Amino acid sequence: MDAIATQGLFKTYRRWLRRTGQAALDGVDLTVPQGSAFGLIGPNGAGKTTFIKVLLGIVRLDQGQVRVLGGAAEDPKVRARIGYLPERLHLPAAWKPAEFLHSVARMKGVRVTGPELSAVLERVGIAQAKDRAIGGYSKGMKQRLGLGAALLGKPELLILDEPTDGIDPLGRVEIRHILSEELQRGATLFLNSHLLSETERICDRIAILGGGKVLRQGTLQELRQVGVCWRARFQLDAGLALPVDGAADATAQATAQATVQMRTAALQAAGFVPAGDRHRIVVNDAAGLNAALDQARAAGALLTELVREEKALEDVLAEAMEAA
Amino acid sequence: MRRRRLWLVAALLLFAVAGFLLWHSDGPRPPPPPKVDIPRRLRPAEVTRMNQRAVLPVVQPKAEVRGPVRPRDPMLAALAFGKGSSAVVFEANALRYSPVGQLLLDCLASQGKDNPVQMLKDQYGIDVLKDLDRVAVTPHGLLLTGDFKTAKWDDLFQHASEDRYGDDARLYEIAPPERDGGEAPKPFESAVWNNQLVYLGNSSDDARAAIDRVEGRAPTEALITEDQTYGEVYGVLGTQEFLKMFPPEESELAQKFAAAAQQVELHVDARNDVGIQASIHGDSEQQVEDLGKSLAGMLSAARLEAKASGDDQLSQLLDFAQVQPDGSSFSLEMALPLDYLKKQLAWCHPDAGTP
Amino acid sequence: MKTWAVTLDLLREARSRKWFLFLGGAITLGLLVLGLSLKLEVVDGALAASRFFGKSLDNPMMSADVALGAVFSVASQFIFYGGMLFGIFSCSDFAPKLLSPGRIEHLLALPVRRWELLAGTFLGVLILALAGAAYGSVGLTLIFGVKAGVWTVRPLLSAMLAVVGFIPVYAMMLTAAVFARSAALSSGVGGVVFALGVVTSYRDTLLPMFSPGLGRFSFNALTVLMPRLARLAELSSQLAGAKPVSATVALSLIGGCLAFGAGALMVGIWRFEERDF
Repeated sequence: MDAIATQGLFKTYRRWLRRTGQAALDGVDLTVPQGSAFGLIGPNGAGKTTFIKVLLGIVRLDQGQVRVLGGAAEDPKVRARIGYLPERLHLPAAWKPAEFLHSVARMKGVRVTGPELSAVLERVGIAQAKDRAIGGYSKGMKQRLGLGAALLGKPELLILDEPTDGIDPLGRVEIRHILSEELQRGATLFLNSHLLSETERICDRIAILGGGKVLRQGTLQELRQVGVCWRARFQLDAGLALPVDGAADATAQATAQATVQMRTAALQAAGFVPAGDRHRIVVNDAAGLNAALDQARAAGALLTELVREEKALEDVLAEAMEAA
Repeated sequence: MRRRRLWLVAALLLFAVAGFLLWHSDGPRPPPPPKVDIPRRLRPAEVTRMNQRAVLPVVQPKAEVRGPVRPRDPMLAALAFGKGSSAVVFEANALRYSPVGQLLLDCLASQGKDNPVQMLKDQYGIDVLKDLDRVAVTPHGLLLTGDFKTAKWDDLFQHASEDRYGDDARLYEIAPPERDGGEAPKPFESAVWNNQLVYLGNSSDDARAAIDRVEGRAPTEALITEDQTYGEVYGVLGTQEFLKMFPPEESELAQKFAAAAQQVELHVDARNDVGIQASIHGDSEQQVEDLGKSLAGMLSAARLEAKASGDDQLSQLLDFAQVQPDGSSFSLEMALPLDYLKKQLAWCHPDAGTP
Repeated sequence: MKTWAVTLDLLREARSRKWFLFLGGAITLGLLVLGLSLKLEVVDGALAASRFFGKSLDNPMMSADVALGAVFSVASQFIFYGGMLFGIFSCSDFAPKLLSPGRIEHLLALPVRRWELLAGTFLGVLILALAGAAYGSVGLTLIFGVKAGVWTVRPLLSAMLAVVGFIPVYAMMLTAAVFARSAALSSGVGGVVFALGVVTSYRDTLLPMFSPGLGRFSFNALTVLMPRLARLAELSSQLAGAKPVSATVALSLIGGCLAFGAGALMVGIWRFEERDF
């Protein structure tokens, strides 16, 4: 069973009693396997938050089907198995953190004891501020508290919208650690974050949303394999005998230089682009890489180093947006 | 979507129910509480009335007469027995037009030909409904004022001996028939002054004394002053007279009353429902205050007893009872709603059914 | 049912609000002042004398329960109108806060039905109103019961009528907040419903002032549905003062107010169910 399965989602935000409006989702098909860590990325206004709200029943669909944990989002029993951290969590300023957690637990139908609540606060790193009212918390502390509330009741699906927003770098490490523990427990993680580096680190599957549509989705490997970049070092003067003493034959030198130039031209013809003392080539698959290498080697260039360059997620996103 | 619309349908149904219930509640408002005026001071109409009655000339007392100037109202002059005595004046003319007066007149009218009012008019030329102005009840007899020019006194007192007295008075005496054994009954004495003041009693001395006071030959110490003539019924009761109103079981309260109270001033307003004010005056503020508290307690206890015994009428009556303290005096105020009086007089109308 | 969980959250929220702390403090202070400075002398069930801060009140001496009936009547009006106005201002932002971005998404993601959120909010405000009215009226009853020996539940019953009157007012306020998240609009709607509720109580008197035709029909149609708040206040006063009360009129008024409140709440729930956040 997939944790999330959507088909043909359409949603347009209209003002009351008006026919036209702003299309937020324009036919979204998305599947999130159970037990995976899934990231949703895209530019501002792509429809990511709307998509999340549709999953939770906060926003009503115009058209399409949504199944979350095998059921409908409107079913409270399904929502009881979900932990959600919204992008801008509003917390009651006068309450203490334990009171807030207790309130969420009560709404979720989860029985918690005082020590259990303290353990949650400890886990998210705000135990030292447990006696302070929430109004005195920093943004990062509030975010941690929100995460703690989402984790209550050991949810099967965690939907986190910008979970590390406002949290310092060391804190992000802690959050990632918590999330990996949840994954190991068997929970499914659905993450929306603008911090692509965090998304890369945490998620094993990613979907790119743009203009209300899914532009690309798959594992990180699959997404990066489209247009992979290789970095190679060639010895262009291999096999060329150069005189030792100073009284070199001018003709021999000229011949050697011509050979190096020929080999350089051959590399460029094969698709290699000079990059300092190396060459770079972008190919879509292994066959293309081998063909280029064969061409270079046939010209006499000696391959001394070949390194695959990992494509950054920003690049993947930029490429997807450009293609769209 | 359809399920969500059910909320709207339910809302419309509830609004319909609300509209019906609220419209249903728009019935007539409950009747206002009984309008009871408690007489506390002279009202403008009563001031006018008082001035109109000041017909006696202002004269200096004669040399042999000592004391204050006599009142200019013949009735008040005749009632000037002095402190300690009692007199209650009924403003018959005002009462006639009041709701309670109408009740009483209807009661009398229902007697048919035996109606004494009709008999007086037909036989003796005295139209009580028109000619009678006031009636004063005193321990010394009855006093009536009004316009009695058309009265046939000779016919009324045909069996009486007549005598002239003073400047403008006639005295009549009717001797009762003799009886064998037992105490001899008192004669019936009457005096008519200037066809506007009539005395009815058992004592010729009282009759002559009344005429003397009116004509200025006797000392007058006003029992009822002019500024006390407010209400449709007013008067002064001596302590002994008021004590008679206490039930036997309230003997302790009666003793307190006798010790503290010097005089009881009574006023009744009958223009709508009947409001009664009895002012008790005394010398000792503390004793009077204690008496007031005891009276209030007695009324409250009576009310609670009436409630407990299911006498709703009496308990509602006593709801209006209160004691208003004022230094060395206090006022006992009560109200008699007209409905209550109607029920009390229901016996008078044989065809009225149960009260 | 998660309604109660939502209600408890609202009560916890109210605990920290200065409005309600002020109300609780003011009622307590008033009761303390009354309890400590009012001296009543009761003789055989009659209120013989009363002193306030040592000064005699020169009240007429009458049966204590009759005398206190007048006091309870006045207090009931104070609780009704004062409580209503206080409630309109102090409770106007509970619903807008519930619907604020960041809070509503979080709540809707929890296993709570949408109608339970609104119902729980409504119930919470109702409990606040009940608590305030009951505190004041029970306090008065205790004070006069101890001092005058007059024990009666009438002040409490009449205070409950004040709460019944607040039900349709707050239901409209809550519904207004669902349509447009604004505390100012919510309290404005509450004020309008309150004013209309007072005017509607006199519709029989006002109706003849409209000339027959569209004007009279419009006034009739507009006011037939509105709760008769001033009539309810009169009823409350009569009940507190132990005056006779028509059971039919009372039940119709109370039933009408409750039905109106429930209807308004359902309109709010309908809109809440339809709305995106």
